[in-house]
This record gives sequence, structure tokens and C-alpha cells, in this order.
Amino acid sequence: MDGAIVRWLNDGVGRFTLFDRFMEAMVSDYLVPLFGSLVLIGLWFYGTDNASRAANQVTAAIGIGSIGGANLIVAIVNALVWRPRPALDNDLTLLFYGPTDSSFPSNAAGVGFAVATAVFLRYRRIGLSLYALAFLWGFGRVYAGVHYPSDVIVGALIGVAAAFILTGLFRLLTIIPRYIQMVARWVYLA
Amino acid sequence: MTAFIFDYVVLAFVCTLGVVQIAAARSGLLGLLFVRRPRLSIYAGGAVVVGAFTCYFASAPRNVPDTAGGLDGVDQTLWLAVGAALAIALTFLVTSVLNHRWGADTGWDPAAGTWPPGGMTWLERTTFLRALWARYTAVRAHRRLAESPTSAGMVC
Repeated sequence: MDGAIVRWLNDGVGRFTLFDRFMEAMVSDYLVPLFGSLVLIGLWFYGTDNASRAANQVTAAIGIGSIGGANLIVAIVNALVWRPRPALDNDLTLLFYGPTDSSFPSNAAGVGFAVATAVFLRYRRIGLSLYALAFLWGFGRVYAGVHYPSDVIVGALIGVAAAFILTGLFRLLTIIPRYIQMVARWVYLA
Repeated sequence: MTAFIFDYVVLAFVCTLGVVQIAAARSGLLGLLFVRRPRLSIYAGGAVVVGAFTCYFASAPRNVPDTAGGLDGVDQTLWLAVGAALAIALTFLVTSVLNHRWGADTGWDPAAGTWPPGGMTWLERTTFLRALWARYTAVRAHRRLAESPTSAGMVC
């Protein structure tokens, strides 16, 4: 069924040039990750007072940590579970370069959903926008013939889990971010 | 540094400039704005971000594997950090120069023997370099008082 969905979606490649150009940008390694990082940078500066800014800065730190956590978990699973990319087993039109590493799980979905979840836990609207972007990124990877849907679903679950784990860790080790913030606040960097 | 990396660093740099302007304007951090008009800064910042992404993706093919000149995850993070750090440093310095006539009245009196307020919130009233200078002045005064044999210390 996984393969059938990829073939069905990828069948649309080449029918609408403008949509393909849009999806080429969406599946890029440089759009959604950078956009998510920019939201985290913005959160570092955003706040109406020191207390709200401090909470936003913790969210930004959780977001950065979640990206690292999701990458780590995906790398471990990638190393343990080998699954060839869909283009190797199916006749697909690639909208993206052909990666050679394991397809399962999707690193892109992991990163996208990790940032979205970290932000969603503090700002619902911005978080939902990031979820939409992460979904488009994952969908685009299936459309482009780079991932199976199950790769993206599991990657997304890993991203969400990484964000929750990091949030819990920050609550447990709250003294460390507070100390860093205190030092940074002293020189007006936080 | 390859042209591909350079383009990516420029993208990160320009986008960070725009995002910091939006965040600072929405937070009332006037000391961090290039133009002390929050609404204008928000629109300009948004336009800069959208423009930078559009130029980046329209100017060349960007789906390049890391084995053929693209960037892997670690390199992406590293170069993003470089671009963002440069943009933040530039924002702090240039806004301090541009707004040097504004923000002299910080509400903090060096003679009162207290520490200047901490945190970015003070940049609502002054510039980054003025705030740093105030901190430096307070540290010096504190040391002088501590070295004085009759001192009772500063009020924190």
C-alpha cells in the first residue's frame, strides 16, 4: 500500500509545472529547516517583558534541542533498519536528487515536526503554521518520490516525541537554562 | 567557501536581520530597530525574509545533494549559526550607531549606586552599546567601592 500511494502521488509529477516548482522548493533541505530556525531566533527576541522573553527563549532552546534529538533518533533507526528509497523499487519521476541512505524513517519529517511541536506547546497558532509546513515538507517528499508515507509518519512521530522528551528534560534540569539566561541577560543578549 | 555555501550564509544572514526586526518591533525593543517605527519595521522585516527566500530559490537550483556541493545537516547548522550570529551582531552594532542620539535617558542613575536593569527589556529604552556601557560603568564603580576600606558595597 505504501508503494501504491507513492506511485499514485508521483504520477502527478509533470502535469502542473507551477505546482512542481512549488514542491521542488518545499522538499528542499533549505526551506522548512531554515524557516523553523528563524522562528526560533525570533522567539529568542520576542517578549513583552523579561519573564515572557525568558519563557520564549526556553522554547527556542527546546526547539533547537528537539532538532538534535530527532536527528539522533532518526540516525539510530536509519542505522538499524534498512529500507531502500521508493525510486529504487518503483518507476518514479524524481523531483529531488536520489538519496542513497535508508528511507526509513524520514529525517525531514522528524526535524519539521520536532520544531513545530516545541513551538506549539507555547504558541498554538505559530505551532499550527509550522505543523502545516512540516506536513507539506513530508507530503512533498512522498510526492517527489523520496520517501514512503510510512517513513514520513514515523519520522513525524519521532519529531513529536523528541520535542516532548526535550520539554521534560528542560523542566527537570531547569537550573541550567536559567543560569545561561542569567549570564546572557547580564550582557543584554537575552 | 563554495558559492553554494556563500549563498546559504547570505540567506541566513538576511533572513535573520528581517526576523530580528519583526521580533524587536513586536516586543517594543526600539533600541534594536534600524528605523524606530515598529509597524514599518515589521513590514520591512517580512519583505526582507520573503525577498531573500524568493531570490535564493529563483536564482539557482537548490536541490543539491551534500555529495555534489550541497550541505549536510551538520554543515547547514554550522553555516546557519554563522549567518545568524553575524546578523545579530550587526543589528546590535548598527542600531546602536543609528540610534546614538536616542536612549541617553535610560532611567538608571550611575550615582545612585545601583546596578543597571538586566535583560533585553532595557533595550526598549536604550541601545545595546549604551546598555553595555552602563553595565561596564556599574562594574567599575562596584569594584572601586569594594576596594575602598570604608565601603559598604553597592545596592543590588
